[in-house]
Order: sequence, then structure tokens, then C-alpha cells
Amino acid sequence: MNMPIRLLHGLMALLNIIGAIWVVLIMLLIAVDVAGRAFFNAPLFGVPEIVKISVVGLVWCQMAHTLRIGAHLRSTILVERLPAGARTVIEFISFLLGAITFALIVYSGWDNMLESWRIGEYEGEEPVRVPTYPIRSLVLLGAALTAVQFALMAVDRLRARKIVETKAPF
Amino acid sequence: MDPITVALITVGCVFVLILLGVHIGVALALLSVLGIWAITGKPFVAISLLGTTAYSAIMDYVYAVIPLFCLMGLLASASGATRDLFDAAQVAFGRMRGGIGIATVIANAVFAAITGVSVASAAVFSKVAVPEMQRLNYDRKFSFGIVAGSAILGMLIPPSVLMIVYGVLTEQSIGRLFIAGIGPGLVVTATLSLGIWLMVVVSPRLGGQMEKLPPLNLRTALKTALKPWGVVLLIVLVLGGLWGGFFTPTEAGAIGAAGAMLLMVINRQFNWHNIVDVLMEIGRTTASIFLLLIAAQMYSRMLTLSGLAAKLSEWAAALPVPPIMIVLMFIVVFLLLGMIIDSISILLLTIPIMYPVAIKLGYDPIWFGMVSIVAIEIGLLTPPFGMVVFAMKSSLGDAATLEEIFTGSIPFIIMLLFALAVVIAYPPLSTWLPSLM
Repeated sequence: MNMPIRLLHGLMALLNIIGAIWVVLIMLLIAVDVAGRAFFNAPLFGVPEIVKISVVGLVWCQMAHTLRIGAHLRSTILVERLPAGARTVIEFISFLLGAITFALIVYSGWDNMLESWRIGEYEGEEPVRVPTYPIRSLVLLGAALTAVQFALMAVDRLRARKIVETKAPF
Repeated sequence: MDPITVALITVGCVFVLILLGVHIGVALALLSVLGIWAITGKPFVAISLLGTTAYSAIMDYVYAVIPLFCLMGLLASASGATRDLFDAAQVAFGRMRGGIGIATVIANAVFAAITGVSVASAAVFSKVAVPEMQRLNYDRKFSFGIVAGSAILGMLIPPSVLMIVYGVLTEQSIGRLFIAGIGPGLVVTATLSLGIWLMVVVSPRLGGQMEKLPPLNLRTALKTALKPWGVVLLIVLVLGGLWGGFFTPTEAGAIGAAGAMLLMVINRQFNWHNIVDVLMEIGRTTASIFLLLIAAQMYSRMLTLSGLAAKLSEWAAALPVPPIMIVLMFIVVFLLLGMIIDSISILLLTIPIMYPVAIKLGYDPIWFGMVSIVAIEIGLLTPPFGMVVFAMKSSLGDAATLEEIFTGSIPFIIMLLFALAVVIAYPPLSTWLPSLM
């Protein structure tokens, strides 16, 4: 595999781990908040705001890598039973649709993101103001990487490389 | 074109794309955009919906329950809770005929109270319970059926990913849904345990040889039975705190995860290897659920905009059949869909259409949620493509064939249908506990 693709995959894996650590930090924050409320009658300020925007951030951190390891849900029951040629064409198209969808997310969120940086958008009331513009950027980064990963999978499909598959955990 | 026709075509196309193997989130999102475009005639309105849904639709405090309960389940598994629970249940029930089977059901039920997904339970118990049953010469297919049947408890007993998703789709309180799930969960646990006992009484050959069990030593037995104290305490804390109104569901998830992490430390499982495993796993479940949630919100906006759901509920209410027939028809749809797609996707595709109908017919939202969830879970066992069965197959490897697991599951599907009938017939099972909150 060539260098830029390896770098991109590295970035996806890194973001995935950041997202996971983010979950652990949220857990600690809420646990401290509850303990503070229960034992010291001193809850933290701004926990709901922080948790709220964290959900968006951490989810998009994990989006691209989850696709790469084949964990986004799809049903392969029918395609698995098709002749190889038909399968290649159908999967190429379906990965392309994925790339288009996520590219459209980037496209439609772009102006809002620029605007949020310009006005310094935030969530919550004084004294707790959590800036949201980094989160908006993170959403678009995650969506862009997911679109790239879909495109890479479409190309792999044409070159008949193996695509990673895992079963749904539900 | 008439908005309702557009919506019907869109729903049809979603199913076609999903069958063709398009990622479910992609199919829902893309076709919702096209549907909204066709209804409003404004492509930019439709596309801008993508950007706003990806960001603001999931920006909600309550959504943090999903990663937090996932984390709790993963940490509790890593602490070795599954093995301890199975050993303890085996001490309690192992001396009866068919006892290991009942122990598997009970251990699954308790484990289900810390985990939100079914297929994980199927994989774990295939490795823990199946070898033990085969050592005691249980009938092979019977042992596979026991594990498959009891695995679906994972999503019936709270916390459950399905209840969270149902709550999000229908704007019901997730805390109340969790508490509501206790009743149906216990009914299913009891039905499976009694069913196993009856099967062994009728045909003792199934239940293996008791002679192979070593004599019971009271001291070690007591020690094993008390080993999972931490997990039990954690469950009482999380569900009790929710029921008593001391925690929000999000807080319950965080406290549960923190407690599970503490258990890992106490059981000396808090090592680098386990931590990396847990961290790698969170993204897999969290991101895949959230992609579906984002896409499903667009889909349900499209359906609302088209007026399809409202129209359908008027039509259903005017039908000259008893309302329960419509609910039964919904159940058939759930079971059929269970043959092709996973449980969360089924909920996302059907609830935005079925829920308004059920409410219009005068059914309780929480009761309808429980009925849907039990029915969808039964679908995970039915051939040809039951997810739980496939998870067991991949966990057991060459030790079992798909056909063996499916035939083994048949008696359990019948028991579960019986339990479903009980849940349908006695709504207070689902609604009484949450009404006390």
C-alpha cells in the first residue's frame, strides 16, 4: 500500500482511539459530578453541556475507522450468493453511494462550520460556555475520512482486493 | 408527485438497497435526501438536512447513554464477570437434571443486566457453557439451543441498546423503558428455565449424565456462589438508582462503567492488554449505532414531512378488524425482517411507521416497545439468517454446523413465542413497574 493511504488509515485509527478515551473521560466526569452531588452537595458546573457536545465529537472520531474494520451494518446475504462479477459491480456502486453520502455531509456542513468559527459559537449559558466550532470541524473531518474510506473500498472492489467484513454485534 | 406516493417509493427503495448490500445508514440517509427533495422540490433544503442531522440531531445529553453502557458491558466482560456468573449459577442449579442449561439461562439473564447486546452473549456463552454441557453428555443440539435461546436475553433485560433506540425514536423516557424491561425479561428467563426443565423431564436423554459431577464441597461451593458479588451489587446500584430517580440514564451508565472498571481492578484484570481491547471495541459498537441513529432521524423526518405515518394510522384505525390483529401483523413483519437484517435496523425502519399506528389504536407506548423488542429478538434466532446463530457458529468454529444450531433452537423459539404471548396478553407486566417511578 502506498504512503498517503497508510497515513490516512493511521489517522483513522488514531481518531478512533481518541474517541474511545473521550468516552472514558466523560465517564469520569459524570462519576465525579454524581459523587460531588451525593457526598459533598457540590455538583460540577456545565457537565450536561460538555457531555452533549462530546457525544457528537467522539462519535465522528470513530466513524471512519469503524467503516474500515467493516463494522458499519449492512446485509450481505444476497450479494454473497451472487456470481463474482455481479457482486463486484453492485458493491462498487454501493460503496460509491456511501462516498457520495458522506461527501454531501461535508459539503452541507461546510458553511456552517466557517460561520461558527467566525462568530465563536458556543453552547450553554454563562459562566459555562463550551465552544462548539472545534466539534463542527471534527464532524466534517470524520465525514471526509469516511467518504475517503468508502472511495478506497470502491477502488479495492474493482481491483478485487479483499474487503474486511465483520458481523453485527446486535 | 403526491408526498405519500414519494414516501412509499422511498421506503421500498430503502429495502431494495439494503438487500443489495448498501450500508443501512447510507441507504436510509441518501434516500431520505432524495425523498425530501421530491416532496419539497428544493434540493438544497434536502442536502442541508444531511449536515444539520449529522451535527445537531445527535447533540443531546441523553445520547451519551449509548457509549457509556457499551463501555460498562465491555469493562464488566473484561473483569471476568461472565465466567464467575456461570460458575455461581452452576453451583446453584447444577445438581438438577438439565441444571447446567438452567444455569446458562440464569447467568445470561444476570449478565444481560450489565450488557446491552445479544450477540456478544451468544459468543461468550458458546465458549463457556457449551463445552461444560458436552462434558456432561448433554444432547449437542439441545446445548446449542440453550445458548442461542438465552442469548437473546441480552437485549431484553435492561440496559438494552434496543430500548435506547426505541426511546429515541418515540420520545419515550429511556429510564422508564429500562425499568419496564425488567418484567418481560423475567418472564422470558422463567419460560426458558421451565422449558429446559420440562424438556429434560420428558426426555431425560437430553440432560446428560449427573454422575460425572464431582461431589460437592460446601466451602468451595459457597465461595464460587459468592464470587460475582461485585456484578450483582453493580446491577442493583444502576437499576435501583434509575428506578429511585437518583440517576438519569446517562449518569447510571457512567456510574455503572466506573463500577465495572473498579471490578476489573479488584479481579486483577486491569492490564494493558484488556484496556486496549476495550478501547478498540467501543468505537465498533458506538459509531455503528450512531450512524444508524443519524440516518434514522432523517428517515423519520422524511416520513413525517410526507404525512405517510399519519395517513397510515388513520387507515389502520378505520380497518374493520380488531386492533390486536394489526399488532400481530406487525409482529409477523418483525419476524420476517429478522431473517435478513439486525435488530437495531429493524427498529429504525419500522417504528417510525408502526408507532403512530399503535398509538392511534390506543396501545400503551411502553407496552408496544416491549412487544416489539421481544418479537425482534426472536427474529435473531429464526432461519435462514438469524444473527445469534451465526455468532455462535463463528465462535464454535467446526464444532457445530449451522443446521445443528438452528434445529437446536426450534424448541426455544416456541418457548419464546409463548413468552411473547404472555407479554402481549398482560400489559401490566411491562407497565406496572415504570408506573411506580
